[in-house]
Amino acid sequence: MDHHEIEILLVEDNATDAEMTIRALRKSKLANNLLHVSDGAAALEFLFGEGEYAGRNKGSKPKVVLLDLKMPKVDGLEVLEAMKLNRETCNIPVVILTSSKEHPDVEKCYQLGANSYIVKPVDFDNFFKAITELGMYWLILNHQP
Amino acid sequence: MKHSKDIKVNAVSFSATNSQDDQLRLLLQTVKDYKYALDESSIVAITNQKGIIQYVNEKFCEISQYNKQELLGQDHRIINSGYHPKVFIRELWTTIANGRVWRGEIKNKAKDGSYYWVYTTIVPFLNDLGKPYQYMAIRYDITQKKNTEQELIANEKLYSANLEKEVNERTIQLENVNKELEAFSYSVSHDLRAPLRAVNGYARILVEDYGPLLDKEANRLLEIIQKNALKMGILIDDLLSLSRLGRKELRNFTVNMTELAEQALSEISKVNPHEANVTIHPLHTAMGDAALLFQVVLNLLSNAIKYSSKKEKPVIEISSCIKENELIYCIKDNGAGFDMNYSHKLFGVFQRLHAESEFEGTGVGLAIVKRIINRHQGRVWAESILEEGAVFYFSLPNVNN
Repeated sequence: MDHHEIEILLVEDNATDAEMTIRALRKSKLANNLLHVSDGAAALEFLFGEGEYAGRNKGSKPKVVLLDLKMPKVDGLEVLEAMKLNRETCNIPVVILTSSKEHPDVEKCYQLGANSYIVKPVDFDNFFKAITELGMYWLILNHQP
Repeated sequence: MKHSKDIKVNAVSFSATNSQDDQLRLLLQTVKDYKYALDESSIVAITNQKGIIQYVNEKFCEISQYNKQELLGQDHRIINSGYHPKVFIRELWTTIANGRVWRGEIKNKAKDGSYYWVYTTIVPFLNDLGKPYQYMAIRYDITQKKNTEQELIANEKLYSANLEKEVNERTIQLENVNKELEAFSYSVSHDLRAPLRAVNGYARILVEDYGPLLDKEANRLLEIIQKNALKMGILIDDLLSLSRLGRKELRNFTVNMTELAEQALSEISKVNPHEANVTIHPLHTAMGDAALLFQVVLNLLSNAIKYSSKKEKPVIEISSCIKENELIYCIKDNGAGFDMNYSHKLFGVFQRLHAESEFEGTGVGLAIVKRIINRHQGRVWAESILEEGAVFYFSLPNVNN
């Protein structure tokens, strides 16, 4: 995939959740320029043009990052923190994906500057709806500064 | 000797007709008897106005282990234990120097260095000018009583120190358990939900992508898979909210129960249209956590609506009354009711008195109600006649008086 065109960066370690998210976005024709990475370390490498993504045009930024919280190696909170601390990435909207609103880190996510969060419901219909609405909002309606 | 006047008068009146000698003899005998009785019972010492010991009885010598020669001419510093503060001694002296009787407990030191306690009465004897010219100290040995007392105090101190230590340890244990529980709940809600989402989602994808290729039975089976995954999701949520209830801090405020019931009704009606005729009578104001009490009313009211939904004209009434120190709220319906033989199972987790095919539910709603009301120091109970309806009650401490 050409990394220059990435619009949605999906950071999700759970393969089935990722597949369902991508499917929901694709159905709304929002998944054309989506990159899925399965841990926080890879997400940071992409965002900062390092490691596997060294040399990528960092000027091309995703329109939204969909970020799972619970991930191996570097978790969602750490990715969010690193993004918000960096000038080049601090303005990219971040939507937190979480399995539970019980998550003790949800509050912290907002403090760190997450734009919104969605609870991944068990109910597929709701999951589908939430993902689609979110994709629409951040890709089509929301204008970046 | 002013203080011996009473004795003299008594003795005289005792034998008014005798000769003076006889009277004197009788008087002496009486005084001797008194002294004998006193010596048998008490530790006696007489000092001059400066506190120099002029006289001690046998018991004084016995308990202090000093002989008379060693004691006479000394002051009481000879048996001073050093236990009492200066203020205590000063207060004693001020009292007796002013002609008043002093009473109290004193710790003394015997010759061999051992300590003994005496209950002491010091009586000042006054001269014609009203100044003390001597003091008589009468003491009782209370060493054993004091030792027992001090042992008790020491035990008590030890006990309370141990208790405090234990309480601290338990608190730390509890905090750890709480943290573990929190981590556990999070893990349950996060990790158990992910596979469920996959089960439900992939079954759904199968239906969407291959549904037309599968026969009716295959579609029915897929639907059951999805339904059950959803149900387990609800179960997990219910269990989590039940476990959260035990840990959440209560926020106590005045709660308008009438408004709260109306809100609960409108919320239920929004999500689940129903035919029930619900009457909310004006309810007594309660004191408690509004969000939690809302949950109670919501659960009881939606139960009432659910279990009366098969009646032709479901009628539900919410009312309240005050009985003794309790505020009692009741929610009455004319629905399916339940068998009173099983009423003890009503408020248990996952306990259901109706088949799921009959009325949907996870069996956690009433357990939540019970836990919330218990945390408010109230009670929950229910009455019913099968097929005629049920009345659910919950009580809260009465704060209206």
